[in-house]
Amino acid sequence: MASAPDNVVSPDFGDPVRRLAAQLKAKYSDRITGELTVPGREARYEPLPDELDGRLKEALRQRGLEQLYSHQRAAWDAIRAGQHTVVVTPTASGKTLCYNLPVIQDALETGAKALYLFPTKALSQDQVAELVELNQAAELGIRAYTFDGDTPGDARQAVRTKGDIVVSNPDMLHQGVLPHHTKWAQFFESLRYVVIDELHTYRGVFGAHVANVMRRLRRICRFYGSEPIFILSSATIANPAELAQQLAGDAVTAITDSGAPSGEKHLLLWNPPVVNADLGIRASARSQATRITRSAVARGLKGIIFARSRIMVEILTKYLKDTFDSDPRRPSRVAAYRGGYLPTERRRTEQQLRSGDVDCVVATSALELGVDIGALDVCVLNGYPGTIASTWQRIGRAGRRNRASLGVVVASSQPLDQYIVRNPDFFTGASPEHARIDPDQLLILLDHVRCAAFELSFQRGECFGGEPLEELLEYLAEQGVLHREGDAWHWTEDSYPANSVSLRSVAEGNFVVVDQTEGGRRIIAEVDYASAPETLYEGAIYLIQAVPYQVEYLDWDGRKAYVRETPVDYYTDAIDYTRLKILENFESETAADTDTSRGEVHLVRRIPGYKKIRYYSHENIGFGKISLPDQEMHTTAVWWQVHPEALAEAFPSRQQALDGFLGAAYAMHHVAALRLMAEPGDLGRAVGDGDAEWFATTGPGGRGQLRTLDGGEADPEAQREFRPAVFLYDNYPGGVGLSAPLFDQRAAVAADAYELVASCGCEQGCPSCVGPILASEESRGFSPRAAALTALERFARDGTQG
Amino acid sequence: MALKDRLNTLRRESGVEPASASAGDVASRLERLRAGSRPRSSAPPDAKRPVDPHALAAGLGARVLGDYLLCREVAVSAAATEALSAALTTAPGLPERSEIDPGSLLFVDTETSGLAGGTGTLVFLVGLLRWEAAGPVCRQYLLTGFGGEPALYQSLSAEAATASLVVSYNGKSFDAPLLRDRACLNRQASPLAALAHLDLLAPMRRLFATRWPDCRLATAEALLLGEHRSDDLPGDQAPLAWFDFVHRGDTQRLPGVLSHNEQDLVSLMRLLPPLLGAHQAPLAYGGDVAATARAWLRHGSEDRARDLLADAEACLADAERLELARLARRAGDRDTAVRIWRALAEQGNERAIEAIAKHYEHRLGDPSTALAWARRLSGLEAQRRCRRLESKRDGAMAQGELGL
Ligand SMILES: [Zn+2]
Repeated sequence: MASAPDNVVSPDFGDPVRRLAAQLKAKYSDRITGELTVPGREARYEPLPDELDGRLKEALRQRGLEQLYSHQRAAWDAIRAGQHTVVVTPTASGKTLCYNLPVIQDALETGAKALYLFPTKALSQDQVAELVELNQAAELGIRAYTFDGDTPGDARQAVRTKGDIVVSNPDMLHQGVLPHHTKWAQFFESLRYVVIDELHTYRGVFGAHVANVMRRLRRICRFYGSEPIFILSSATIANPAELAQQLAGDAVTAITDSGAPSGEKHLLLWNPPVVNADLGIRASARSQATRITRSAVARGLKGIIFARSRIMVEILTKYLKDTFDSDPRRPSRVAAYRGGYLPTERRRTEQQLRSGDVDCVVATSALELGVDIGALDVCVLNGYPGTIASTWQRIGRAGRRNRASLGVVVASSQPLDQYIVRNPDFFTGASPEHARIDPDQLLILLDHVRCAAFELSFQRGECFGGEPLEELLEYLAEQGVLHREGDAWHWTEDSYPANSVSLRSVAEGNFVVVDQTEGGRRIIAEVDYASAPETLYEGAIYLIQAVPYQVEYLDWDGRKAYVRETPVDYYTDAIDYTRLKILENFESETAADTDTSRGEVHLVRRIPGYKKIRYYSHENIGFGKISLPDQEMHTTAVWWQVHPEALAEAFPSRQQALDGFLGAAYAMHHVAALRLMAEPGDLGRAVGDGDAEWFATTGPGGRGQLRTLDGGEADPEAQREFRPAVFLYDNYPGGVGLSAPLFDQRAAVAADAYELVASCGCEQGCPSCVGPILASEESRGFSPRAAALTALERFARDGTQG
Repeated sequence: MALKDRLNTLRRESGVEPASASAGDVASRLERLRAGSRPRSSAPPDAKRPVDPHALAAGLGARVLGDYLLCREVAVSAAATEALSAALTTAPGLPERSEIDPGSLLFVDTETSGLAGGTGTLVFLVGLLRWEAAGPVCRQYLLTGFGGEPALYQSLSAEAATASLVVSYNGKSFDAPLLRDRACLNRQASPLAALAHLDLLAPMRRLFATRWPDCRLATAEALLLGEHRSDDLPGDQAPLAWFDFVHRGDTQRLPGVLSHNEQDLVSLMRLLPPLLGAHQAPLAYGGDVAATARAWLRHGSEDRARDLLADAEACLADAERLELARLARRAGDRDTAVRIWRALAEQGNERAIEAIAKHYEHRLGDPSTALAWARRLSGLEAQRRCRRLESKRDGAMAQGELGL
């Protein structure tokens, strides 16, 4: 660090965290784009419920609990009143007690059983450990077991018949429990609670699948005469009750007011300094994150750094160890924690953190949830984690009851990161993140109707999902999957349908990525059919946890891509000739200069080749050809257009308009993903005329090119009519419900994108705002960034007026 | 767009179509095509022909039991039961079932709509073979629709009420759980739950897993009964026969399934005598002596285990000979034990050396010879033993000197 004296700014000398925050602000004011202080909060308590079982009271007392936080008591009251309940509270606010208390109470009173669902296995293990501890504290005699792929065959029978609380995950429920429900008959007959933790992770495709698994679960419960109460817990999102209701299938009471105490929290948003203004290149987030952490640890504070990939964990750990663990005779002060480490190793690190033997841990999201690591002072995020909810969860790892804590979000150069650090409002206002699911997405629904029919024959008059069930059943009957006899549809296929339905994808056409490094055949990733052509072509560099793998062979029919780890200094970018035809306009808004619409589109995508682009400089260093069949897709989209007169007025040339629309699409794509809580890959973007007459693409020189149907280049000025549109489409066949909320937020998306580009530190445009700029200013004759702003300004202005 | 068209389009676009053309599917689709090319009456392949249950029953030699349930009853040649009676007089049981009463047996074999397991797998044919007053009878319950399941499970429960031991081949892990699950789905009692279950696959594997390429029923028939079924139906054909029937009213392949099931049941009964015999004299059947002896031992028949090993001593491996020595010693036959230990000890077998050292130390009170043996052993335990023997020997010598 530079050598500013330590006592320059010290508003509160007593608290080392406040002191550090103040010093960072004073010294790096140009890098801190936003700051926020959340004042500390006193605990609000309520008495233990009178009816609480004496043994449970005793167990709580042994853990030092004489009363409940107000939200825990509110949850108790709602659940005991038989209401489906969602608890929305911050990290470390005692949310597990919200469901453990009523569940255990009922198990003691009536022998009621509970099913706990966690999105990952690691969380399940931690949960069972906690239950076992609580149980032993007062000899409650409650049996909690995990049931997942690791549960040995000979233990499964005991779990099914003896477990009071069974802890599992949605995939296991889908493939291992529901299709064998008769083995679980006893369990389902007494099932009274379904607990779903980390609700906010059930969104998008995964969420739509899980909502259907819950439909199946409720159907099976009805067969056994039970009607469980759903208890859900979620990080802060904009619509927890709505999402919870989609999973519970009924109205859900939301408890959002936490009674847990918290210390003062300081949040800094940190943008690394620009080191090359021409190319818009900033210093790496890594260098900044290490620097901040070093100064924290040097002051005797305990810290955690979250990195987005395993490899980044290793790099950061090395840098910090070079500083703090250079003396081999002393015990280590820095530890790494990530997936892929042995459980024993991870337990040891957790223990060292709790006991304070380690000063700093570098972790992936493996440490984000649940795991108890004691209290830390400082949390540094090396890159934006993708959602605000998860940012808060990670930052929540720092903070003790009565002491200040500091969180620093260090942005990478990705557009979403750049956008976030420049918009601290996102962290202060109500959550902008809507977790959206569309459980009636036709293919997903059809998959689960199949699975449900396998589990239990469908009777006429039954309900399952929002599409006409009988038509779906007849469709399957025509294929011979089902057979109708009287008023019932029965399974008639020699197969086990759940095995061919992955909860993480739409339909079953997924590709697997097979790593043949070191002669192996290890499956390291799964890629949705829709995104396979643009990511898995031969020659593509496919990144996993920032490690580059090159695709050597693509077996299109076998749905496999064979890759090998390859050290390269470039990434590949598919040249995407996507043309869209608007089939139906569902809704439209016409404003002064623009039209925004939502509707069904038919999309034909051709991937003729790819570019190799060098890291950092973004130079184009080569091309490759791709020969893949054209992809077709029907989906829904939102599109933005500027009226022809306004367009002619705004842009001196059609070429500029084209570049402006392409840049606008790039920025809008990324901010829309944020608003929809989606991965950027869940949405696609395109610029075209909506009639599939022409589409626009960024050519080898970095200039927008207008291409006709056959892929040939055309002169924009020569077109009789010129009505370009920015399309953002739902990147799954049939759509997964992203376009409706996108249309609702059309104004915000345009305004966010404008804000992103306008506040970017670059001159002509860069990968953080309008996309890589390959053509020079001179060859182009105008600034792509300015052109994008011209388009975005019109979309945004009309949006606010409308 | 109509729902169906939307679905078709979406499924094509999501890659489901080519993905479904994997090897297994092509094979089964080809099967269907072949089935479709057989001579068929006027009905097109996809049109469901209404099947008259009485006509079907007549065609299959069965009677109608209910709306969707037929029952076919055939007398079985008494030769099989006579052979079983004869076998039981000399070999009354197996390690897991010491006494077998032929009158209480219920041989069970099912045909299902698939092998995947799970609640969606239907048992459409349950064949039973039992020994009734008039002789052995095979009764087959055939579903002609899903509506027949409740009646099926009621019939099975009635059958089970007069039997006490289910005999099956792999039925413990396949047929019985499926019957239990489908009964549960139809809110019926699990029909076989109250009966003991003898799954012949376990004893068959015990005897022959290390001797035969596999222990499938057909292999057992070939190698124990010397029979090869010529016109049998491969396992995966049963589901197709059933699907042909429910989807298209095509009954052509049902007789084949019925006779396959009947043969399986008869085989089960005929395999029992050689299985009983082989548990008495494994070598005579080419069976695994050691595994058989272990099974007898596990089920408490130590004498029989020892006899089996003693009869086969010449061809036993070292570990098995040691086991024989252990059993002989426990039965008081120390001579046999010592003979085996000495023979093995001379070849350097450590466990035998240890046993013989113990024998000299504790039984013969000869610490010097014991020590000589013990010195051939290595390891901490052996060193401790040597030290103890040395002091014992020295003590004995000192006493001897005193005695002088
Ligand atoms: Zn920029």
